[in-house]
Amino acid sequence: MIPAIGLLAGIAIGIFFKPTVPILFQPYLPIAIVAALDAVFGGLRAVLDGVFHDKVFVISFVSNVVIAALIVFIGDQLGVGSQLSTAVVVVLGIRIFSNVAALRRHFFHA
Amino acid sequence: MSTEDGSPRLRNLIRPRGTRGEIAAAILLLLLGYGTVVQFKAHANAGLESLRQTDLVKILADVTARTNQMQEEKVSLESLKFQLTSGAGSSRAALETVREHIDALRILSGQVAAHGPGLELSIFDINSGLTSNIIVGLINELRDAGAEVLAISGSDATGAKVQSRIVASTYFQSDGKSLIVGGKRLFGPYIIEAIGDGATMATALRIAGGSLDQLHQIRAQTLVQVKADVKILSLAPVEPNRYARNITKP
Repeated sequence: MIPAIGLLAGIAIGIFFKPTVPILFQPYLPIAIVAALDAVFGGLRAVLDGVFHDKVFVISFVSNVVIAALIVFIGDQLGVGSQLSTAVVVVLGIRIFSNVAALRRHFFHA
Repeated sequence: MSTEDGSPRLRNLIRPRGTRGEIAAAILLLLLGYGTVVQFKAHANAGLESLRQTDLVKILADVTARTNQMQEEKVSLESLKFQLTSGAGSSRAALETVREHIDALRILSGQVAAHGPGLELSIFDINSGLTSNIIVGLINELRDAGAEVLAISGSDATGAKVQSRIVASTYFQSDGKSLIVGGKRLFGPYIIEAIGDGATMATALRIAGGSLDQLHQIRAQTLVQVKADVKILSLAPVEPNRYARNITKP
């Protein structure tokens, strides 16, 4: 419940303050968001499986974001930034799908 | 892990407990929500600034190649002009050709007033969403459709009607409420006047996803009028070249 309120508050702050992305972070923010989404769905699944641990969630969230951004950053330096960000999105997309599938099994027993 | 275990845990999840884990998750999700909205917005009005360096380099290379090509063409035309004026016994025919060229160049560079069939596009930017990108796209679309002379009208700070000639070196800058065209500040409603084949230009503007669509996306009202005679009286300012000098025949 409190995390959901946090999410809504974040969205509200974003809408209200009309911020702009600093140029430095522009290529990395989208990837970082996808990585964070993966951690969030993973956390939801862990809650329903009864294995949720706050420390694990926080560390997986932060490390997901940092590693995803880092991979894209290194890719950019190597000149394969767009290809590597595609790779990261594909991998995280597959994980999000499998986590959502697990949630679906919990909710609908199907 | 059996699926029946999910329901009480789900109820547990919905009930606020205020544990350390919940607070930590809330803070992270707050950041996620914030970041998502920021990215949504940044992506929605993305211009050149959101492109990757490699893409920008590609665009720059294209533009540079095009500029070089035009420069080469210009040099060859200039040398032709010199040949015709200085050499060839300055025959009448050669002189005529040069005069025609000069007339065309004068109109192109905005040094003489011009009139002819064309079109007028009125833009009522009621939502102040007009960006310089849209205007530049619009001007380029009109040029592609054969516009020979272009100008944009609006009103200045005192409300008087001002017309600004648009030539190759004219720049646009938008701050939402007004538009700076080649250094002159114009307020809406704007009227873009173009001399050329009115029907062709009107069709070009109406292409799906084209300029009119973009204007409608920012909820600006537009009016396209094909006219038998459009008069463009404003001239483009002449900036003396600081670095470039003519190549005179050795």
